Amino acid sequence: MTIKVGIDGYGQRGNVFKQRLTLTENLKNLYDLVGVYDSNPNVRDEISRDDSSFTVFKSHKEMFENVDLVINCTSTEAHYKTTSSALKVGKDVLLEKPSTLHWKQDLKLKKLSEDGGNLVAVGYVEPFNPAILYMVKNIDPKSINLVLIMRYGPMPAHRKGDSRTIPIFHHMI
Amino acid sequence: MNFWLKKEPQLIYATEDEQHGFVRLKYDSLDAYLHAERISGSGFRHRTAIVYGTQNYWELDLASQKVIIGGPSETGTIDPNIYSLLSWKHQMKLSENIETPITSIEKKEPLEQLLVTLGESIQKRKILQPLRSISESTVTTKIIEEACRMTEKNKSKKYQS
Repeated sequence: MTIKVGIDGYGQRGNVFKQRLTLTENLKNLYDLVGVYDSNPNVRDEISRDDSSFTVFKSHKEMFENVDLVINCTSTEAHYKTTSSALKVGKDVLLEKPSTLHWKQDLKLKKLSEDGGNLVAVGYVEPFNPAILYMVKNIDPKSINLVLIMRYGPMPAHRKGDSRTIPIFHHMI
Repeated sequence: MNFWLKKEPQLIYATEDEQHGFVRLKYDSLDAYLHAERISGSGFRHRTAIVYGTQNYWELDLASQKVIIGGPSETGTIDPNIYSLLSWKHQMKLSENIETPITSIEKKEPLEQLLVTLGESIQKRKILQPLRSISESTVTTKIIEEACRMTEKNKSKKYQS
């Protein structure tokens, strides 16, 4: 049975998830992207004009009524509020990294998840990176003097103005 | 884990196009070209992991599936740490700037793998590794919080002085 998905927040990351879910063959068999929601009405109008292949929900409530899983791609500041709303109505959530900006909010989400029997996964991709998996398997940590991880390219447009700490750390820790 | 660099590495963008990028990295006597790969829709993402020894570095380039070993151009010596790290595993004959393919690294898109594991987790009602749960993420959030706090503190000191 396919999992009915809604994407909350249709910025850069929301768009990446939409592409993966609709274009990747083995994911199309696993998921059914029902629709997206964005708090910005202009973005909602734009999606409605450009893509009629899925629903553009008018509210969180409408999205929650129609999906099993919420992929939360809202801003980090909004993560706690939007994820807790989804958990309170019994939805599973994939929460984009970093989960929240305050660890006590993570614990509250964990409690909500346990109380309601819903899953909250956090979208850290590096544990799935084949190069990282290869290194973990093959390198003796004692033989390494220094590990330097850096972003070679320019900062993506949606990250301009951010502190360097958040975008780099939440990918690499 | 703490680590220090004597000075900031110098990055020079050598070429950049829609599919591939090459970036020149200079650090002390190290002078190397590194590979990067542009993923459609998700910005300019590195695909290379670099591990430094005391004199040399090696990198895993996922795009071309190669290990590239480089060293200071002045001396051309191989760091014993790097030698011991790779020679026993891949039985490679090491010399300056050799390239040896790694066939055991699979080309799998991390986000796709994450979504597959998420689907299986939902069907089994349990977060399956290596997917991170919210409780595991708490550790990362604490570290980021602390790093942000220290960054702000350092900024304040800088402005005061």
